[in-house]
Amino acid sequence: MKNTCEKVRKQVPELITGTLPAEQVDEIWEHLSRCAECEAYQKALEADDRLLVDFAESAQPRIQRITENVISALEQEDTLQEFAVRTIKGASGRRLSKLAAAVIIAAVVMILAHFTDFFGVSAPAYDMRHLPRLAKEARSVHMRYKFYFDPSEYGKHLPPIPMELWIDLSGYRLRETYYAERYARGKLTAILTAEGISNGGYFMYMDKVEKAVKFTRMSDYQTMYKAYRRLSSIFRSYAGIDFFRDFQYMGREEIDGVEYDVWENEVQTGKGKKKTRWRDKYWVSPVTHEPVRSETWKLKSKRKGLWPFASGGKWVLHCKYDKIEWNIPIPDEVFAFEVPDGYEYWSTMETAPLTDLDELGDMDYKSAVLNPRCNFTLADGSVIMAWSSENKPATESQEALFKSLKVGGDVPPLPLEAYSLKPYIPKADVTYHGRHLAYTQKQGHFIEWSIYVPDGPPPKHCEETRYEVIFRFNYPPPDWRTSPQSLGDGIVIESAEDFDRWVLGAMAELSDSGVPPRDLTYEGVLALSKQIAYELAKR
Amino acid sequence: MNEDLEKKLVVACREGDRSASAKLAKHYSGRIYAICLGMLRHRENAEDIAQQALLKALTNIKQLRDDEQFGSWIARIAKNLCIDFIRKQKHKQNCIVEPAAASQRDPKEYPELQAALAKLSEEHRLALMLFYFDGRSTRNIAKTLEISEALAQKRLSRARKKLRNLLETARGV
Repeated sequence: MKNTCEKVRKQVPELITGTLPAEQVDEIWEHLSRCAECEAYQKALEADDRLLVDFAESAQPRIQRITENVISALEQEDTLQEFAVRTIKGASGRRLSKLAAAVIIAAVVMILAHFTDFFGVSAPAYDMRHLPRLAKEARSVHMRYKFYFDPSEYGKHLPPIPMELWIDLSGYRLRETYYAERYARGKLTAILTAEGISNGGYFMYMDKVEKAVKFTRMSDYQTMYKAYRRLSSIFRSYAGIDFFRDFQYMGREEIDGVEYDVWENEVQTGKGKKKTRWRDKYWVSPVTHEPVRSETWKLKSKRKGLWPFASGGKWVLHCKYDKIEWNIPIPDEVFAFEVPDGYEYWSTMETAPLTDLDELGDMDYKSAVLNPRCNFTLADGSVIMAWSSENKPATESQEALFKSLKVGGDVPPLPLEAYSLKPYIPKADVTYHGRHLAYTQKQGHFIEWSIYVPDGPPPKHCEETRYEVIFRFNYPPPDWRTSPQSLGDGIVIESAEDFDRWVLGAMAELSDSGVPPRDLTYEGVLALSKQIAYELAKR
Repeated sequence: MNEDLEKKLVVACREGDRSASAKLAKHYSGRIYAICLGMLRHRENAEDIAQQALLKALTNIKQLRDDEQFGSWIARIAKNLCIDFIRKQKHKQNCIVEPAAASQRDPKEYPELQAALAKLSEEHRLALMLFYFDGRSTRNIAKTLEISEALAQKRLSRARKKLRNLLETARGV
């Protein structure tokens, strides 16, 4: 097929649906009048269009029925309410006993309760497993919350720290409060609060204790990635989606005149003396299933060193989100870079250094470093991870190693070789085997893009799974016992659009040329993953 | 329906005006049915859930914070109900909801079309359903799915191409 035909066929669907820009329409028709194959394709798409129109029209009686049923149910609800009011008025008019009036009210309440059940309001038909998805699909979010400090842990009473988070995905803007604890000789010396604002390709870090600001520059991709990752990471601080499955419905509570479903869960973290029990409570809208408030409580031991249950522990408030708002318009002022007078500039917008896509941290050993850059989870459960590894100091060129790699073959034997992944799930009997997918080069560094394919069924909720990077030392001798490097759950890639946007976008980002390796497509990568899985199964 | 009128209807509906609720129900039933059909791939179930979603939104409209966001709010309610329904079905039958058998009154192409639609990804199926059931407008798709209009257009275009390939494969072309 000629290039022109390929280009034209890409635009034919838009021509059919009438969404093609007017200036291109004539050009396409002109080609169609000359090319029989493209004309046949256009005619086939037109036939599909007619079929879909007919299909939609055939559903009109059903849609009309939906409308009629909804209107009639709304009228029934009105009638019931009127009946309740009339009955009570009538009862009091005839001077019935208080008991009889109470019986009538109770009966009406029961009928109404039956109807509200019918509307799905009182008995929740949902559980809390939708929360990660809710965060991933939100357009914007605002959370206002406080952290509480346990005096027995910190040795003194500290006031709770007010925190706030704003994310607006329409402009990929973010504003967040941070806090950190500073220790000296095992004793807490300061609580550091800071604020970060990401807007228009800049990130401003404002340290409120040091009274200083620092600007860094970010590419469009990084700006988008930062906001999206932060949004999708809300609700992922626990042990994956199973945590949300275990929430128990506790009934309803009213906040500002509106009723909310209350859900609670308890979870245990840590081992031995670090064993801690947490209780989470969420107030959730029965209509949108959006949480509007939450609290986290910690079970504290009364006697130091003892498991709280053994010592008759008590629950103390750890964190309280008193306002959670979803999909609201956020004023531009929230993301404005406003620096109070008297603050020192560690870097300005003019001198801001450009940051690299590198959020996972290094595994830094005496003689070599392993640097996982970013990772993505595909719909079939396999994982794509970008990583690099170099000796210290990096003396030898890695070009020969990368030039000889084959797609689907072994990952490059770099100084520290990330050859597999293990999911962070107890008793998960599955290993993800790394195979070479592509490589990019940036500022003299080679970056390997490996695909890690599970040798068995991936964990049930692989989109929420974290991993341990398994690696070996190649040229440097191991300088100390290696501790595992954790890898967060990556952005989930569910379509070709996701793949182009996030994976190819990251490849372009980590490449001097600013373009991803050629011929990489979502379908192609899924086919490769399938082939690797087949080979692993044969072994 | 223009945005001003929609906003006025939302305000009136919140104040208990049932004729406003009826107008909103009429305007949104096609869109909500399209979402449910796109997610559930089953016409009877889609009808039931669309009905529930409209009722839930209209009887709880006091909880809507931003009057201008009624469209995306009701779409989210419908999506949530579909997810709950799928989860319950999985729990009951340990299998996903399969497309319903075609009715005898359907033209012979419909089973083929429905089978092809069922094989599309959910986002592509939703884009197609919304386009054909809700006024052939990419703007409506964008608003309902809370994506940009350019992305809605791209998604629709890709969905059409994939559907063509699936229909061709089914017909052995």
